[in-house]
Amino acid sequence: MADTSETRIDPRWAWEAYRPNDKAPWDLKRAGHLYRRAAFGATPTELQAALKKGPQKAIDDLLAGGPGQDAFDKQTEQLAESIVRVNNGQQLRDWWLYRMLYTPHPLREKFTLFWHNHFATSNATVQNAGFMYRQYRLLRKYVLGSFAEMLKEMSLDPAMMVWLNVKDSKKGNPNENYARELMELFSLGIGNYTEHDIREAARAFTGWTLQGNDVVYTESQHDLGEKSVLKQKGKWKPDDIVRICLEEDSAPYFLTKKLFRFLVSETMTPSRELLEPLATSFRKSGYDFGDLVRTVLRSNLFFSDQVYRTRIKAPVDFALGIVRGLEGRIGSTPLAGVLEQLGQSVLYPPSVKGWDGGEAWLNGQTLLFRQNLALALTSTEDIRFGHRCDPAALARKYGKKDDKELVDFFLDLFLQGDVAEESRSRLLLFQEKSHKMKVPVYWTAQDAADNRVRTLCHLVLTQPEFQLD
Amino acid sequence: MPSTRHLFGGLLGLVLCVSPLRAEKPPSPLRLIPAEADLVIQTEAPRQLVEAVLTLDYIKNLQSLDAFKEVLDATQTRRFFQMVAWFERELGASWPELLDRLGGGGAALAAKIGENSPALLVLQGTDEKALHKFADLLLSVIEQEQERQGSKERPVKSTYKDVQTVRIGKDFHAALVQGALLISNKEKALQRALDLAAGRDKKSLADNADLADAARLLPKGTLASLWLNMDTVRKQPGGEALYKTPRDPFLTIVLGGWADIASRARYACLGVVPDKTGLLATLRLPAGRIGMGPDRGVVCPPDGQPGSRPLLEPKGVLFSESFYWDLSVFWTDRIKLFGEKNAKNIEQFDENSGRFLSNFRFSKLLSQAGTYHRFVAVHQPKKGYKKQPKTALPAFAFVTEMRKPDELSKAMETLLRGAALIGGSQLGLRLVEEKHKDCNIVAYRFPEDREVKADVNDIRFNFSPTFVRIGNQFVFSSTQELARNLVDVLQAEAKGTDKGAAPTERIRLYPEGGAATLKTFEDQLITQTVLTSAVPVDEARAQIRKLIYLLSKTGGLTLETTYAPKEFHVDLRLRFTK
Repeated sequence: MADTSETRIDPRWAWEAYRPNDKAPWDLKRAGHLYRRAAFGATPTELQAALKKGPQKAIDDLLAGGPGQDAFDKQTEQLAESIVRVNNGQQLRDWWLYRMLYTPHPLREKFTLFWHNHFATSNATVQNAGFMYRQYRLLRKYVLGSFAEMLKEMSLDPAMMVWLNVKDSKKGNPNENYARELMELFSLGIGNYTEHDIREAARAFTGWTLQGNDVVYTESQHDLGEKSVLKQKGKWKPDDIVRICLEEDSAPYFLTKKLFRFLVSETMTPSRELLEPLATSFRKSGYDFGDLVRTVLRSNLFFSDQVYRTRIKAPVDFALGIVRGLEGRIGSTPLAGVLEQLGQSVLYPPSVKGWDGGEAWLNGQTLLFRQNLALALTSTEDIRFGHRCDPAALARKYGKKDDKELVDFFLDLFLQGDVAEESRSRLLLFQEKSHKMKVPVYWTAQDAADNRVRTLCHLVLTQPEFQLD
Repeated sequence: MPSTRHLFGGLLGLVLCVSPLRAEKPPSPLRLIPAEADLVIQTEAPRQLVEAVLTLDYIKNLQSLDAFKEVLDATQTRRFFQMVAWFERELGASWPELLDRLGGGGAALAAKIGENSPALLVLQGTDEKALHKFADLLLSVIEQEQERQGSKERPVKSTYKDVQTVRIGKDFHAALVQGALLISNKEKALQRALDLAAGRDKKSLADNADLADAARLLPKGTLASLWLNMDTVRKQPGGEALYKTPRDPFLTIVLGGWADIASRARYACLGVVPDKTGLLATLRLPAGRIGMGPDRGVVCPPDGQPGSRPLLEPKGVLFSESFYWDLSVFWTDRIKLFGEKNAKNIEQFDENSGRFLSNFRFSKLLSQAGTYHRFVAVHQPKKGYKKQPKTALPAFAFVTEMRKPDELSKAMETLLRGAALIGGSQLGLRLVEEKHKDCNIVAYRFPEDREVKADVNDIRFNFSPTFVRIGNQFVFSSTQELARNLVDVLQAEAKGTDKGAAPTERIRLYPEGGAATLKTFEDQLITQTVLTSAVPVDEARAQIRKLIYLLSKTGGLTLETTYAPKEFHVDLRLRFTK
């Protein structure tokens, strides 16, 4: 996945709504692409339904989420409250994975994860599950809403105040950590501000501290003087600094570029011209992130061959794609443990910059761990994951029996059939040969057949293409 | 999966085959184990052991739990039962009967202590023909499983002095001889067993007098046992420092009595005795208070006195411990216990101790302290505060009997009041004094109108540190409410006749208190269940409630340590029903 700088994409065409055509038909490949990028993969039913619905309706339904959200939220909130009461950060991590696995609205969780990586706050430092839960709720509240409002609230979010030391920032001794990251990582990007801007902005965040679970303002600790930030002068407070940052030309470009990398392509470096229509409408909308996501998801570029499989799956996408695809029910606690080995422990990002992503996800060891995880999830023999994530049961449910049907079923489910003919032939050959494979004599014919299906599914998941998003 | 029908069938089979078993008692598997083995785990009746466990009502109740059902329904468990059923078909007998035929002569697993040491399993059958067939079938099943898993290792047959052996990889060696199946991780260990069988080697564990002695030391009805050669244990790294006196003060305080026993016993043995109501696991060593070194004074009362006072059982009790520990001996016998150098350090510490002990000498406090101590933890739903902690913790108390009650209680009160004054001022602790049944209860309470930044979950409202003297007993309690309850309990005890029992340490876990405590953590348990196994919340709630109910119906767990004149016992008793 070499980095490519895009030079020839017409921005107008890129962000126009995609209409299926002969060159770019609405097919399984594009439906799978949509579910991988905007959610955590699809079940066989979801894929087939999306095919029938067409792209517009499929996107609308993903954005709206499925039925039962209120009941799911109510139940999981009760669980979260019990976790917060005992301040168990590790369990809160498992809880969020549980939500990602079983939510009727996966798109919302996926973009909450996007924002978590943007505002990367780690409970390793915060050490307060209540604060982390509160930040999660803040991210989810604005996940498809106003980024401007999210950023304002984030500036005085307790977890962020601990993470970037806002709580210790006092008049005469302002802490610059938050002001620096606000500009560098949250809104403008390097090169679009000066050290002077950081020092001045830091003064605006003085005087806020934490008392128990509450954010408290002490006027005597706040620097009431005039501050000069990004060429604007005034007696600024936190909301003013956020407003000033978002008034900068660089802000919408910085943010659309970040979304581009997350949703469109990791390998392509988008030009300013390509991002310009997105950045302009994003700013005009008052930083309505939902609008931006809708535009990108519906675009020609999103469904084009140029961006297809141009991301490496993050561990969460890799694992959840398997479980959701197989309509499995597994515990999120054991899964969280494995994801940590793969390098992604949600609520515990490695630094304020979040996870590097891309090629950094893969090396000899993590690749082996991924293959082992796929085996553990699909074999039904791993005590951590039990037997409720069973490719054989899924194949039975969808009436797939003969070898060819089975090979196509799993290739369609996980790779939308988009593999080299040679790979498909090899899988078919393996499946045919597997009939002759000896199994323990006490196994029933059903055991042997199920075992063949599970082995086939694991083989599909070890195809190199499955590592790509 | 075996059904109840199978189990009853098995029991019937057991009754029917008792006579032939008596008539032709098979030879002991120990005859095939080289004499130098350090550790032996054995059962003389594998079938009885399995059936004793499976027929327990409590185990049957556990099977009704969804989590247990999930384990039974797991692919591996299901395949195991399929394999058992297949063996039953192929060998023409039900599994209980098969256990008798294949292992009715007993099973023993022996090993040397140390890294990469040999281990040997001997399964003595009563039906040699069936055992041969079983071994052949087992080998074929292993081969099939190896092939399925893509392993290149296959069973390799060869002979050792006319006996056929089988090897799989480097660490699996097996043979059949004299109606016994032998399995070892080392080829040489297997060959030694075969030499014993052929009479080429004469020194087996069957002639070990200590093993026979251990069998006598363990209670009747022992169905599984462990034997450990203590000579080898004492030679392990670090052993020299532990099994001698004087020794390191920390080791002496923590392990003193046990270390003394272990330094003199030839062996240690452990027996498991299941019965209809529960299970006893007992550790026994052939060394007791007679011949004990200076540790005796610390852990054993003088002859004729009880080993420990009665367990305290206030309302809501979930854990109670009672033990003998004479602190004064640490001072009077300091040279014998800790050595001259350490004793001098202790003396130096004592000389300076008045500075931080409000002019009391450390040695004086030790001398005035008593010998009988108790600890108790209770489930206490009401904490005595209007504000409730977000996480409820059990209340607990330490009760110590004073040798010189007037002097020591005065010293303790001065010390505790001083400590509370210094430590409590930052937290704003408020002194509360209460007269309860002629006892002066001194408690410290946290103010409810004051924020404590570090305590986001209001954990402090679980505590109101309290002390009180009741006769010759001094109580340190985590809450004023528990202290009040203990005044009632201890005053009643003083009027009663029960002054204690022989064990020098007694611990009991109370299911009712445990269940009540679990109930306060119900939300956390439900969350953990949901996140661990992805069951719906309602289902998780039902599971947890059932588990708590089952727990409340058990008879509890007790642990007793006894220094008998010539023996040492640690008995763990689990009662499944009240």
